[in-house]
Amino acid sequence: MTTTRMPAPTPAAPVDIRRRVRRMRIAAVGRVDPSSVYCVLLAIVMAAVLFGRPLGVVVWPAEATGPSVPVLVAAALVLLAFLGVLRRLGPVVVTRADATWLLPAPVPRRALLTPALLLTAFSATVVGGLVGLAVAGRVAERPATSTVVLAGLAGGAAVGLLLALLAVRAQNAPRTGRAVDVTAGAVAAALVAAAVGERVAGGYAPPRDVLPPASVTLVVAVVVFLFAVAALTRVWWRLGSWPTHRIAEASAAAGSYADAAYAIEPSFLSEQSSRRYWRTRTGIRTSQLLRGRRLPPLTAQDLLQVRRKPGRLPWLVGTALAPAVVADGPVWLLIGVVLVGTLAAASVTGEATHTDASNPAALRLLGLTYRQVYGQRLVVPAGIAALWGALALGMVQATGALSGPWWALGLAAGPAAAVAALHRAKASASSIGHIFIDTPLGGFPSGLLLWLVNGLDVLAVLMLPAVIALVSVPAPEQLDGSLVLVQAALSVAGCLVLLRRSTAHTVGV
Amino acid sequence: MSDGQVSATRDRGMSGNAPGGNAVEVTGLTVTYGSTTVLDQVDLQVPTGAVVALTGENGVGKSTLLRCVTGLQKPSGGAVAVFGEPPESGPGFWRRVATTVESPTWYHGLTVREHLDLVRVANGEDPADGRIDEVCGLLGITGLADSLPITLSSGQRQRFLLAATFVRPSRLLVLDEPEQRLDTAAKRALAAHLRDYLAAGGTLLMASHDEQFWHDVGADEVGLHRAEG
Repeated sequence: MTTTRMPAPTPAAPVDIRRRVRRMRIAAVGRVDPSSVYCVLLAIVMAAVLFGRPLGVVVWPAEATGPSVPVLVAAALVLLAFLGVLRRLGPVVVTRADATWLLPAPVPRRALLTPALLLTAFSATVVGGLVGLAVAGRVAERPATSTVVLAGLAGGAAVGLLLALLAVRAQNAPRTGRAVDVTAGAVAAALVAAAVGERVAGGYAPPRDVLPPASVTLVVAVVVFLFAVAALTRVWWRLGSWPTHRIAEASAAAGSYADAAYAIEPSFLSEQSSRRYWRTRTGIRTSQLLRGRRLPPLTAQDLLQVRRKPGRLPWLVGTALAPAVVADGPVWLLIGVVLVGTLAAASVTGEATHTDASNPAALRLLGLTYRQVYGQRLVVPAGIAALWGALALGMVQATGALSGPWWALGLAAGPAAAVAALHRAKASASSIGHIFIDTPLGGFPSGLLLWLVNGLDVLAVLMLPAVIALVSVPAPEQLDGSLVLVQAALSVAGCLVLLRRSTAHTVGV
Repeated sequence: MSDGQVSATRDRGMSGNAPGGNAVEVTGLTVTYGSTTVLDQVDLQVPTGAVVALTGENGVGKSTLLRCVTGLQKPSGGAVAVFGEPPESGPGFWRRVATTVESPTWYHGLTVREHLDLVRVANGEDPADGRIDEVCGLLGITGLADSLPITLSSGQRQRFLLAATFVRPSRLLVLDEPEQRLDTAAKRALAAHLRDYLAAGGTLLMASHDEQFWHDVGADEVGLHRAEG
C-alpha cells in the first residue's frame, strides 16, 4: 500500500486526459467506422423525410385558431414532460467510464461536467423554443410578423432554460428534487383536469389578448433568458464543488438508461427507476397489515405497495381524465386511450409479478402455487383498474359524448385489465421475442415490438364488449345494461382462465 | 485439476441404514457444463436427522450438488431422491425443504420484518408467535425491522436471507456457505441455532469453507475433490 506524499501532484488537464483516452480507444478499436457514419446520416435523413413535414405542421400550422385551453395545456404538458426527462437523466452526468475513472481522480470537476451542462442548456433552449413557436403558430394572426415569431421562440427558450435550471438544482438538492417531482405531477394532473373541465363546460375560447402583446413578450423573454443564462453560468462556476456521489448516482442511472436503449429492453428502465425510488424512500414503518392475516398475504403486499407510492395517485386521476379530452376525436383514439389507460392503471402493482417472473426464488420461499399467487395478485389491480375505468368512462359520459351507464362498463372491465396486466408484467422484451428483423440500419430484435403490445392483445379480447360499445353506441344512444353484464362475465372468465391455466404451473417450473 | 473430475470422499460409506431412512440420496450424479465435467458419478446419502458439510476447493461442484438436491438444476446423469422422492418444484417439496442455494430478489417496498411476516403467513404460520423475533435476535437483525432490503449491506443481506429461511417450516435445510460474510459472534449463534434445528428432528446439508463452523454445528464432512488424472 502506498500513500500520497505532499506536495500533491498537479491535477492533469481534462483536455489532455480526454485526448489520451481517445487515442487509446482509437488504438484499441480503430477510428469511427465509415459505415456507422453512413447509418447515422441515413437515419437523420430518413427521420427528416418521414417526420419533417408533419412536425412542421404541428409547430406552425397553416391557419391560426387563436388561443385555446387545449393548446396551452398541451404546451405546458410537453414542457413538464421535458422536465421529467431531465430529472430522469441527471441532467449533469458523465459517461459511466468517466464516472469510474475520472470522477474519483484529481481532475477539475468543472471541465469534466461542462459538456453535460452545455448539452442540457442547448436541448432546453431548442425544446422550449419549439414549444414557444408552436404556441405562437396557433395564436398569431396571419401573416405573422417576425416579432411574433421571435417572441414565441424567445419565450419558449426562456421557459425551457428555467426548467433546465430547476432540474440541475433538483439534482444537487434531493429534497428540492422530490418537491419538484411531486409538484410537476400535481400540476400535470391539474392541467389535464382543467382541459377536461373546459370540455365538460362546453368549451371556452380565451380572449385573443389573453397573452401579452408580442413586443412585450419578446422583451420579457429576452430579459428572462439572459437571467437564466447568468444563473446557469453561476451553476457552471460552482460545478467544482458538487459532491461526487450526486454525479456518480445520476451517471449510473443515465448509464442504465443507455443500456436499456442499447439492449432495447425497457424493463431495465422500470427496474432502475424502482431501485432509485426505494433506495431513497424514507419514513417507512413496518405495517401490521401482513401480521393481521385478514387479507391474503400477496394482496396485502400489493396494498402496501400502492400505499407507499402515493405519487402515482395524481397521475392515475390525471390519466383517467384523458379519454374525456379525446372523446370528440376519432373513435379509435378513444378506444386506444381507454385500453392503454386501463392497462396502465392495473399495472401499478406489476413490480412484484415482474420480480417473481425473473427470479421465482422468493415464491419458493413462500411455498405458494402459481394459482394461489395469481389469485391473490389479481385483487388489487382489478380494483384499481375498475375505479379508473369507472372514472374515465364516467367523465366521457359527463361530457355528453356518451350516454347511459358507462361508468358501470368501466367498473366491469377492471378484472379483465388485471388479467392483462399480470400477463404483461410476467414478460420482458428479451423474453418474448428472439427473432431479429433486418433493417438497413442493422438487426432489430422483435422483442420490443411484441413487448409494446404485450397485454394489450389480451385486454383487447377481454374488453371486446366495451370496445364494441364505444364503436356502436355513440350519444345520444343509450348504453344497454346487457353489454355491462357481458363485459363483467368476460372479465370473470378471463380471471378463471388465468387461474385454470396456472394450475399445472407450480412454483419454479 | 487435469480432467475436471471429482469424487466424494465419504460418499459410499454413509449408506442409508439410519432408522428414519435417508433424507437425501444421490446416486451416480453427473453434471457437465459443455465439455467440462463438474460432478462425475457422485454418490451421497444424508440420513434423516443428520448433518453433512460438503467441503472442497472452489469450483469442485459443491453448489452444483446442492442445486441438484433442491431440484433447481437438472443433472446430466444419475438420480437424486429427497425423502424418497425426486426433487420437484411443487409447493409440497418446498414446504419440506428450505434453502439458501439461490438468493431471492426481495420485493421492493416491503420492509425486512414485512418480508418475514409474508414468509410466515404464506406458509400458514402465525407471524406473531415470537418465532420471527427469536430468529431476528439470534441473527442480530432486530434493529433492521423497518429497513428496506435494498438498503442492507451484503452481510446484513446474508443474515436476512438466513432469517427468511429459518422462519418458515422445513424438515431439510440446504445451505450454501451459510457462514459467509458473517462475523465471529454471528457464526457462533448460527451454529447454535442449527444444532437446535437438528435436535428438533431436522436434517442439514450444507457447503462450507469454514472448518471451525461446521465442527461447531457437529457436521460430518464430505470432501469433494477433483479426481487425479
